[in-house]
Amino acid sequence: MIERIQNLLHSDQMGKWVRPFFTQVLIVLLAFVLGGFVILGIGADPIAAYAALIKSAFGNVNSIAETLVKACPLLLAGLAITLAFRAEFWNIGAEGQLYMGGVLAAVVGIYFTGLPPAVHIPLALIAGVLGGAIAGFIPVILKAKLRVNEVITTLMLNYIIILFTSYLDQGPMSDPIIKAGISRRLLETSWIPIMIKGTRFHWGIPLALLITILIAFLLSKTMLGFQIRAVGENARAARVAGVSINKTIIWTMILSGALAGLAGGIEISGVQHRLIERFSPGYGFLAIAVALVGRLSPIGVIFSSVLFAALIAGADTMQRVAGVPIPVVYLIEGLVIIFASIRSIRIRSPFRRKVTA
Amino acid sequence: MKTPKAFLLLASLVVILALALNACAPAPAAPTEAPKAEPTKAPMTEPTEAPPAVEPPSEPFRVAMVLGCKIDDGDWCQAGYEGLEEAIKQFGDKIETTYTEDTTIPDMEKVMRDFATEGYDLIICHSSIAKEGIMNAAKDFPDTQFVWTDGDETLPNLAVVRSMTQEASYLAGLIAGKLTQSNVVGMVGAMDIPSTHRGYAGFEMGLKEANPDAKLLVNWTGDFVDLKGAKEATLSQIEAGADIIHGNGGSLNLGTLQGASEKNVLAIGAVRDQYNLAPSVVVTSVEWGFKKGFAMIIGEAMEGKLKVGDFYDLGLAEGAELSDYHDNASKVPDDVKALVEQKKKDILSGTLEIPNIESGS
Amino acid sequence: MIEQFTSVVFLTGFLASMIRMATPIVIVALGEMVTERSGIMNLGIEGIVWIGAFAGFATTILTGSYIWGFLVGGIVGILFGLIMSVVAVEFHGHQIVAGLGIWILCNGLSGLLNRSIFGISTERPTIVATLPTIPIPGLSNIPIIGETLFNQNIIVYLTILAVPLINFFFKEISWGLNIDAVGEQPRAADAAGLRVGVIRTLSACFGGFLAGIGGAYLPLALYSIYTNDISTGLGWMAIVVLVFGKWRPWGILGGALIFGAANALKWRLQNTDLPLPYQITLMLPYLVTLVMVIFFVRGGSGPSALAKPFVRSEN
Repeated sequence: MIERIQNLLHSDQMGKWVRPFFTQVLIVLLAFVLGGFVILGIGADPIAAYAALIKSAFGNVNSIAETLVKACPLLLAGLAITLAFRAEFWNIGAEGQLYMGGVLAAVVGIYFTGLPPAVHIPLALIAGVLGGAIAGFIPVILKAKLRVNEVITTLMLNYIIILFTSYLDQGPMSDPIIKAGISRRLLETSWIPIMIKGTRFHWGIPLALLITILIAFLLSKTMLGFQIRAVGENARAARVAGVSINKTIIWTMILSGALAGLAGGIEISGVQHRLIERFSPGYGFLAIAVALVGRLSPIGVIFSSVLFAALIAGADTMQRVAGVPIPVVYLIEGLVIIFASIRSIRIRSPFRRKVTA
Repeated sequence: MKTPKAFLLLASLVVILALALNACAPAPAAPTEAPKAEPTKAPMTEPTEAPPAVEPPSEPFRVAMVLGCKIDDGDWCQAGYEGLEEAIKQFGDKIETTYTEDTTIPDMEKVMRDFATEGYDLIICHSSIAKEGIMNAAKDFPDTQFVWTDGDETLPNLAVVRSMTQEASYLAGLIAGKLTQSNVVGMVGAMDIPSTHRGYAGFEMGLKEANPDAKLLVNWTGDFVDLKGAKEATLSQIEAGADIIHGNGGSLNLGTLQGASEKNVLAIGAVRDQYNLAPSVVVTSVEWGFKKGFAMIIGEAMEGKLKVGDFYDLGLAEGAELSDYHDNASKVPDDVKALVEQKKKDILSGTLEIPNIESGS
Repeated sequence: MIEQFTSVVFLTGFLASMIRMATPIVIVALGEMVTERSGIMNLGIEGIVWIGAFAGFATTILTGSYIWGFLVGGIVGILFGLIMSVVAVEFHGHQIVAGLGIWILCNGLSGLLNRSIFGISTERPTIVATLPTIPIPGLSNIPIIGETLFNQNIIVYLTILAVPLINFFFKEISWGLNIDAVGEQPRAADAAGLRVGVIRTLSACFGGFLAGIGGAYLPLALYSIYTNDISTGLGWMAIVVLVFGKWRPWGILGGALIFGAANALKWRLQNTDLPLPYQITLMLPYLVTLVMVIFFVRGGSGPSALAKPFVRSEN
């Protein structure tokens, strides 16, 4: 039995997937262990804290639903980053693209009246996709046509879009009663319906999963996917092979922005139902970590988005139940991310020695 | 072969870090002998940090607070947290409190639901923008009492607390109007939202009443924590001739007051008594009154007298106030002090009403 | 409005504000430049700025000495630069992820230390005076620029000096050339006998050191107090300025000054009667940077081996 597992682990097929996966899991676990020392350091009980974390993230149907509700924007934004980074386009602007998507979805949700849900919901989401795509298109067209560095443009656009959202929320779109940086409520016809009653688990989550599979397919099986990989791995060779680099990165970024925009749109019409200024607690930035911890593979991104969502979901419970103050929660989050960045540890595994011996 | 060694290095770094934390965690009395340091208050171990181990004999009243920022932000959330601490001070072990801080907006609903499920009697949502969350949670738990800060709607089990800063700000405006010699006064605010706009409107009203020629320069930093921006804005106002600066925001006031004290220009703080931040220039501060206000509300809720379905307006009568002049009393002429006292009495007696203006135009 | 914008008081204040904003950005960006030119991308500098600010502040409060404050801020920065380089060099870690991790870690750590040392009290300690200015005799009396350029604290002078020095270092000194070699062609550098890992580690530590100094500069020279949000994006701005300046010291200085100027302008615009929503004026620095990049700074993609781990082929 054990031998079979060992052989499985080292067969070419499984070795490609299973070993990196387990290495990653082990490394993340190690980060938690070290985080445990920190919790001990402040005089709290690490086991109780982690138990609270796990319970609040996966304890019952409702908590699993809550974790997945948070994983949804991380997953979509993580996919957005995955696509862009695969093509070596350093899109730091998923946050801004997500906001833009949220803004347009909210505009449709608030001002388009008299539509049945079957039209209104898709329309709001399409608006979100469009908003993100526009915000993604600006930096890429500047890069393709004028060679303007995308790190600057995407970062600057983040600030500009977030301030613009704040302007909308306190000005034209603000709630008529409370002008505290929140918009009117979206019309109920534009709300994504709840899938599991009594929770906030909405239909946007399966949609996001479906999209993940589509993106995985796109990356591995289609022409565009091939071009993205070619441009990212070796631009010169890609050009020689007749791949237009500009065209590829433009389409990649339109898609990437669209995904981030969809994340914003789903968050607004599926969860928050209002456009709140700074409605995203940094999903777009965290998505960079999500995508890279998932090793820029759509399937990996599913796992890492759930991991990060569980961490966010557990943050409140760890404070409340185990008396771990929020800075410590961030500290542990940071440790997990740093450790997850580790790509190779060449520890000689006992399995390997046996097999090769 | 090299890697495990480096790995040990990294791991040991983290462990050392943890140990270092361990060393400073049990509140080392910060040596105050440092000549440049102001005497610091001995670090307090936070009473609400860990759930109390000793169970009081009778069932305590359980209060939970949900905050959208950090309790030591020197601002909005700290003001709310101080209210919770004040309640602990007043009611001792008759109440049991807990809180979550830096809770994101999408999470607020979940956290409040969790608190309600765990049987907390009173849940305070100290965030004005969590409207959806508080409404949904309060509707689903009709037997739990909710309090919402700076909200705009109530429910049969939800009371709203509003910081009616316009009254104290009006008094501050009077002082500024009387004290300015250049007839230019500056205000540095965070965001133009109801809690700050009330103060802004009140301040402007007092200023114009005391000195119709005075011009008010207004800067908004767009952010409640941007020290850097607040200081730059303050200096730009001073350069434009302002000789009194009102910092109308919380922790960003640290930057405002710093700028004012560097240029030796009089300043008026906000949120709480900020005299100690720049003793040379702060004449007074507009206190928002959450400290007394929350303690009062928790007290009423304990006795079952929470005014659910209603608004608690924290004006001058309910805890908001204009701080003491401290050592800068000599900078305020006696007739101005008398005027302020007179107007304060008028407001308290109801003969003078300062309108509640929550947004511009 | 025009008279207002051309008065001596206005110009003096405007230039002073520009330099105040630009100085810490230049310090942090210069450090990051050295790190990146060796091939390591440390996105954690925003976090290192925070922890450096806290370390500098706490040390100065406890010892009463600015020198110790800056030193400890810098040393803490080195520590995190070291963590970054260990992850990057030894583990071939993904540098962007590790940087984000360091950012979040430092956020937590500085918050935690702040609480455990100073408590959750409104009575926060403050440094009595910020770093004193040293007027340069003669020059400091020139109107407008005298006050802003020649009546500054020691760190501003050092920063201005550092720009040509670091430029010289990378152009003429073999160490600087080695850093570039490692960042551009690690394989060739390795073949030529350079120790890629060591050079990268040292560069990352230097970058961390300057980020820590830049952080400590905030409480010690500008605000005399520490809050958890003291940095508000300084590290990110440094990265923008670095790319803006195409990884060259003079470019960094120029970029930081433009950003500082736009920042100084936005407050002054709010003080006029222009009917702009305040959010729009707040966008100004970012819009200006964007426009400047589009029109003047094209191309430039940084060291070719940036953020790529170097794996020495053993056979």
